[in-house]
Amino acid sequence: MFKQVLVAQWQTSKLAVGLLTLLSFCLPLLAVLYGGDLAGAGRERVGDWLVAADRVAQFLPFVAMLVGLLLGTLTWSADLAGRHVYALSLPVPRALYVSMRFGAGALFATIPGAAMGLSSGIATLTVALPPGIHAYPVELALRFWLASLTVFAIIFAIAGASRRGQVITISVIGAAVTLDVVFLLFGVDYSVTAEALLLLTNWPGPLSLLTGRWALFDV
Amino acid sequence: MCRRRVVLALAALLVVSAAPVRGQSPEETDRRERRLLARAESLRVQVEAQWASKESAFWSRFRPRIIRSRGATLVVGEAVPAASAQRALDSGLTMLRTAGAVPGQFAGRLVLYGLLDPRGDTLSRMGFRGRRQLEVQVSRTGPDSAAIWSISAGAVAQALAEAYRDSLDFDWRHWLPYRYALPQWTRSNAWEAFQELTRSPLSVAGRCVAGEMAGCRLWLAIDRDAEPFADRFTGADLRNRQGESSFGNAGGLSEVGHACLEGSDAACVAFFQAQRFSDMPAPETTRRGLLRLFRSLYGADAIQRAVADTAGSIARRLARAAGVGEDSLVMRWRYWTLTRGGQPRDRSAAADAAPGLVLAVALLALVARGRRS
Repeated sequence: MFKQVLVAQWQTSKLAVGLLTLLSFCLPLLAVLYGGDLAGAGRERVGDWLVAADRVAQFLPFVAMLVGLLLGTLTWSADLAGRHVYALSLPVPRALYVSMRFGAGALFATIPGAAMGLSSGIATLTVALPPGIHAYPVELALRFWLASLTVFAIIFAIAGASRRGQVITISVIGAAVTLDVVFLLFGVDYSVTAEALLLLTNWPGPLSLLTGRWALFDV
Repeated sequence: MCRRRVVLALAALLVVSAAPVRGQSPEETDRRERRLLARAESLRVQVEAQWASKESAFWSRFRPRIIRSRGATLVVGEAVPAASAQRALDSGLTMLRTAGAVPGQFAGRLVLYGLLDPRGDTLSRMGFRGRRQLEVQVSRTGPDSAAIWSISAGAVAQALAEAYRDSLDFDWRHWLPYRYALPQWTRSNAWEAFQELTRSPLSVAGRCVAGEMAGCRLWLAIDRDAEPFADRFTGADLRNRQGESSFGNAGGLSEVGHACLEGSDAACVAFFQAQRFSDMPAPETTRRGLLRLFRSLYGADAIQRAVADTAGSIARRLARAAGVGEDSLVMRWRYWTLTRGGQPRDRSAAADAAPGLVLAVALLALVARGRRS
């Protein structure tokens, strides 16, 4: 049963998975474009190189978010297009069906993560690092995979929620934005959305993973 | 005999011709000089009177006004609008409280003043005789006819911070950077601190980038090194520094300076000690960065405790105030500087992801139990 779901889901997700895998593979390699031999390089060059690696790292959480976002929505796209007739006709409980859909999506999210792990490993092997600078290929790949999985799970849950659940989610976001506009009109220096984002992205917020250190090469 | 008579006659003629000329008698010269002096004196008095009257007219527009806030007193000329002065004092004190280095009660011990008539003791007449007086910079904009006078919060905070630094012990007076008590720290400051560390030609900076804690401590000059120049700089560092400075001009070099350039390290140390060069490798922004990080990690109270502490080196005082190890603080600072404000990897990626995954599982459980409607 899971195989059928996996194959059906692959049909809708393969293009996105392919492109995201390619992107995830290429990005860590950009970090070493500045050169490979840093062991004997001057401190100035090491500094520039660290800055370049940091700039590349800034893109990585966005790519992880993109992976989660696309796979999360694509997972349900076939069901939405078929008005859930296929899902309802299957002789399995909803919990099992949701688990299989989630499992298939999570498996696809692993592919860009694995690509990132592979290219991070290649990038690490190609440079001779100076003392005081370290490479974190495994941690980066794990972080990327976990971040994309977290975003995927959240989007998957929102997209797969009942209409009531979706209305509640959209209403909460709409209320926060409306409050912000009202505060702005009355000159109140407070933003509900900004505070909410801070709570979400700072430890122990659920999205704190996205704002940590993403650099492949770090001090 | 005849010749003798002729010589005597000529001498007599010379004496007669050397008689005083009319109008050049000593008495007459004195009289002229006295007249001229009197004229000059009267002109001077006249100019001074004119100037004093102008000055009186100028200062009459700036009668002193007292502004108070949280125990602090600012006496400022009326040309500065009261609301603006009040705002500057309030904000200046808030800035200091945020930065944490200057205790709140310090401002109450002195009286700040700006744009006051310097003739006579205005502040004493106003009842501030026993208190230390501290001038605050007043800025002026606009043309003479419509000049606008104002005081900034930064000027108030800076004046108080400088006065407080002067009251501290030698270690802090020597180490605290300019603007140490202003809390602003921008991206460009972080970039500057990064550049200072990665581009400095000094060897201790290189050792610090390479991860050697001792190198970072020397770069920051946070220890009571017995021989600051000899410990924190190599001979080559000092020679480079000498070459970059105006003292590198061979014409202006002493014998010790020449010996330094010729390769004597001891001479270099002696040269720099004699020239009263700064013995701190890290520039001001770097030291401000350490204080900024310290405040963000341990709070303004910790920085106040550290600055009030007088025992041991700067590193020991900071570590004691924060309740952490000296090297752990330096390690955090190194990471923070080299990542331009990055948080260290204290948690693993899995620990970072845990809250998100817990939320995801909870949401999934809700989705799995629910029905589409």
